[in-house]
Amino acid sequence: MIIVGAGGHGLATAYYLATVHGITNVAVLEKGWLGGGNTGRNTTIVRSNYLFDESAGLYDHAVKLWEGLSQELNYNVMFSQRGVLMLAHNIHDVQSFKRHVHANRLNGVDNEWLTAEECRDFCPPLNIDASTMRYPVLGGALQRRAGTARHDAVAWGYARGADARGVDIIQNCAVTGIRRGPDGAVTGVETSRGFIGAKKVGVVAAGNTSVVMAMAGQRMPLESYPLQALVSEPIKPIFPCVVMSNTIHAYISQSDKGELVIGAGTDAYTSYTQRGALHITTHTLDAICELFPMFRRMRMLRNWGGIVDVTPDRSPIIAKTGVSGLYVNCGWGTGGFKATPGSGHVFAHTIAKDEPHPINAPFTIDRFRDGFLIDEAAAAAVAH
Amino acid sequence: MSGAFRLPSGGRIDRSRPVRFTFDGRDCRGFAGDTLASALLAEGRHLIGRSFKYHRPRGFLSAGSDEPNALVGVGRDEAHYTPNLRATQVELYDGLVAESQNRWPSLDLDVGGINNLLAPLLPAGFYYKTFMWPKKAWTSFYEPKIRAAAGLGRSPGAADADRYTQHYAHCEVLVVGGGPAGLAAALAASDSGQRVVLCDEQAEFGGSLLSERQAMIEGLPAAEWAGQAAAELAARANVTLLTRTTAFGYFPHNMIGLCERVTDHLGVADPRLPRERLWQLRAREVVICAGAHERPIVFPDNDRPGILLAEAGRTYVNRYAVQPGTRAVVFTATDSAYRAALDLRAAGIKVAAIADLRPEANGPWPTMARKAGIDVRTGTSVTGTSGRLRIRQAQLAPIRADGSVGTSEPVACDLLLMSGGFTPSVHLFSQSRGKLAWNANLGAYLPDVSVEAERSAGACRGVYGLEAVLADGFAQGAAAARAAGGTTSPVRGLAVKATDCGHDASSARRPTAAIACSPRPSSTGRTTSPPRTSSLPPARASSRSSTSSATRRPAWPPTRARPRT
Amino acid sequence: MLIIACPYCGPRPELEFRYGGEAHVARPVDPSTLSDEDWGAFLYQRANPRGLHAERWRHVHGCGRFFNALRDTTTDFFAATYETGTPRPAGTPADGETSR
Repeated sequence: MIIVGAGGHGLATAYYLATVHGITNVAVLEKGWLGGGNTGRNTTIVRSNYLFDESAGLYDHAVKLWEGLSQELNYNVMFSQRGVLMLAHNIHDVQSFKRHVHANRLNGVDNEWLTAEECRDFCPPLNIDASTMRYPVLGGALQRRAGTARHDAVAWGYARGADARGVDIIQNCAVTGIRRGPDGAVTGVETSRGFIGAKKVGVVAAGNTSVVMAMAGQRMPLESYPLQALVSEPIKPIFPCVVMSNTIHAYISQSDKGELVIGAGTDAYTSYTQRGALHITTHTLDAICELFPMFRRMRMLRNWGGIVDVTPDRSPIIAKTGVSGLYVNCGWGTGGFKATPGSGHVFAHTIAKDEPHPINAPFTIDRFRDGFLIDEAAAAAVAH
Repeated sequence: MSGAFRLPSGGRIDRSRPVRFTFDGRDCRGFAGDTLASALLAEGRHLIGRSFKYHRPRGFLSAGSDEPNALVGVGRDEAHYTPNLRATQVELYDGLVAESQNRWPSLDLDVGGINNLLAPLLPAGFYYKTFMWPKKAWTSFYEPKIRAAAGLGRSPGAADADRYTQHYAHCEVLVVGGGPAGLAAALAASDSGQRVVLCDEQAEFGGSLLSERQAMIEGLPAAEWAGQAAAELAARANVTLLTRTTAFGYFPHNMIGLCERVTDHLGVADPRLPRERLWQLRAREVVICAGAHERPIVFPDNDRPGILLAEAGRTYVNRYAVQPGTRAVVFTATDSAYRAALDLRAAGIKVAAIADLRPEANGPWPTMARKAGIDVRTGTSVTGTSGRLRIRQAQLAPIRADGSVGTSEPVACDLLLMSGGFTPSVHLFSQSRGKLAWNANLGAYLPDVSVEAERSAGACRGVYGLEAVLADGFAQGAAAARAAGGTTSPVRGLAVKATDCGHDASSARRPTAAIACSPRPSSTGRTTSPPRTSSLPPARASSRSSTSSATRRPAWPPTRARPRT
Repeated sequence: MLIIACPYCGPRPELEFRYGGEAHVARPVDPSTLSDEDWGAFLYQRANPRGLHAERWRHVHGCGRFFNALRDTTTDFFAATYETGTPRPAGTPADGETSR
């Protein structure tokens, strides 16, 4: 078997193929380096407060795996359940978030409503003085089991675990073609380092999925957008949790190293450049400075971009494809990191058994033909 | 008077305007024109911070924006407090309040220094392999401890009291960097009558010219010529000059982000002024004149306070009239450090020895150094240093023909200058998505293929030597103006009187000089860096196809040598 | 921030425009005769190429009109902009090719 893409999702897939399904004759092919794409570029937020049953099932499956991941991998992925607070700034937000709170609880996912004062108590740097804000804080939804993890460690931990069980991880190896037999089934992939034969190929290429799938003649319901993030210079602990605001486009946490980790929105147009425009980041920083005016003098250390593959309903695709032996795991948009363990776990099942795990059964490509969309646009962190 | 180590005359400080400030609560004095770094050095203060992980004592390394050690918090109250500022960039004003960071209870006596003794137990990435048991301890115990240890400065404790503004602007030619190349480029480009913007991160234009002792341009001392050139530019209606302005980002379609620091250098600012202006500047053509950074040399314990880059030593002596020490050892792989040694000597600092990694050094500057009676030792390496909060002694050892190191000899010193050559500053070019090419002769990556409408001039594209840099600046500035649709007068030549240092690393004509690194001393065999381990340890042996070899050597984390952090 | 050459107004900053997704996606003349497969493809499947991309932009804070553009998604440089209703300029490389 071949996995295309050695990011967190691809490596997790290989790991669970080896550990759960005993399949170790696996090669993970990576154009760049381990975890060098969106795995190394995201803002490390883990949460499962999605609206619909299907999503709650998928993302909470991931959170449960996160909770034991360091011990399972014997590698400290630094999963830290510091709580994710999503701020409401207008009546619509309040109604929408309260609906999320109730829906989450019905699905066994923890989520609770906080007043503005309770939000400030939970996150002391937060400014709730309405007289100084264009978009006052009216309250927030808090998921306490949510938090952050050390993104690089996730890739390295899964790689180490998969490698120890016999999986081959090949870096600097770009897939240039997907070879199919007379019956249309996959027979292997052409790469920059030669042909590799395989009966099954799983594509986990994030922003580049459309490009790889086109090699097998498959058009995808995907568009790839730039998404930026940035970190401040490291400071002593000041920020206890994760705060997100999709209304004014900002999310922020503090890493164990001390950097304030800040996520911006997507640019308007599709692009593979892994960079975005300055006005996108200044817009986000304006919002951060309004919510946390004491951070205005903090200086940003690094700013970068990734390529996020977005589906029309903002939910991922983890499924078989129209080509026998070809599987795809994509469409995570701006929020794939949080799902890494769950995504790899159910995708490994899908490849090994040639049928989806009950958790990912709704996340087909066919839903865009049949109309069974899972519209999570409101739960996504940023408008996209 | 300020500071026991202030030279009686010279420098670009204004001795008629003494300034008082505090560092860690202690009253200090300096002059207008000082940076926090130069004023502290004038008082004999080298220890300025503690390293991130091992809390090793750290001193000033450089004199500018490339400073890695001297990070301080500045601000008279919480609403004006800014952490992690480089003391080498903080301009002094009356009433400035600065404090050191990442130390407890004090900078001189830092309990965190215990980590330095534990270094052998704390290999790179150790935290990924521990702190997992018992499971609950991660959130309740380990993580809070790690977080408390991390970070350098601290966040301001109150809402920022200042205002900020933005400018959107257009120009035909933007020149980034106001050193010799940038001034020449701006003069040439503005001849065309087109809109030219020249920005520089420092308080005054001139760059390296401000630290020159002998070089003459058009019959004027170099710094004076810089002032005259800046005045000429300021008089032109089509030129916008921006000092204290950093070009921080190169965005698509020639949009450059500039951060102008408007009031940070003022003790009491007009309340109508913003603290900073964000410029989003669209330029038809960009000329990058970012200069070059001097490279440190890698040798055991090269991070003690009192160990500076050679050009930084020159800057403190010539520009700020400060003696960064009284007895210096110079460790070099280039000719330019000999110039620094002679400048130090002219400022009354005893140069105990120059250790040159190269087997021979016969350029004009080494010849002058020998003539001046300085103990020049070629084929010599520094194999170690000692001194707790400041360097007291350097170990010098000859390099034998087979590359091994002979017996070392201690040389007393309170200052060590090092120079491993220069690395062109190609950051902005790379951000514009331009492609670099390796230049073996210079031992450096240089701008090669452009993507945006930009060009580089001077040291940032490997052009060294004052006359050549000025000529390149004029040529590139004129070319940019023409590319933007203007017409320019013929390129001017300037009469320059300066002794070149060659192009530094290449004068060694040895590949090792590209990244100068002292051989490991065989006599002591001491390991000074924590043992390196990969964060992704090799898996157990297995007999599989050859492709698995790729797994054994992950490209990440990178395997290049790192100094202690 | 990109500079975009509106065919009606000339070069303007990106802030004046709104992105309109892939160009030349023609709405089927008679949707009722289409298979679910084809209708889903029309609604949702996109080329999303790495390289040249024919796309729509609308000059919302200017003339208000839609137009088409050819942009290289690996560099974000535009190869051409052209009026809506006109075909892709002759001689330009296909989707996914690079412009340089």
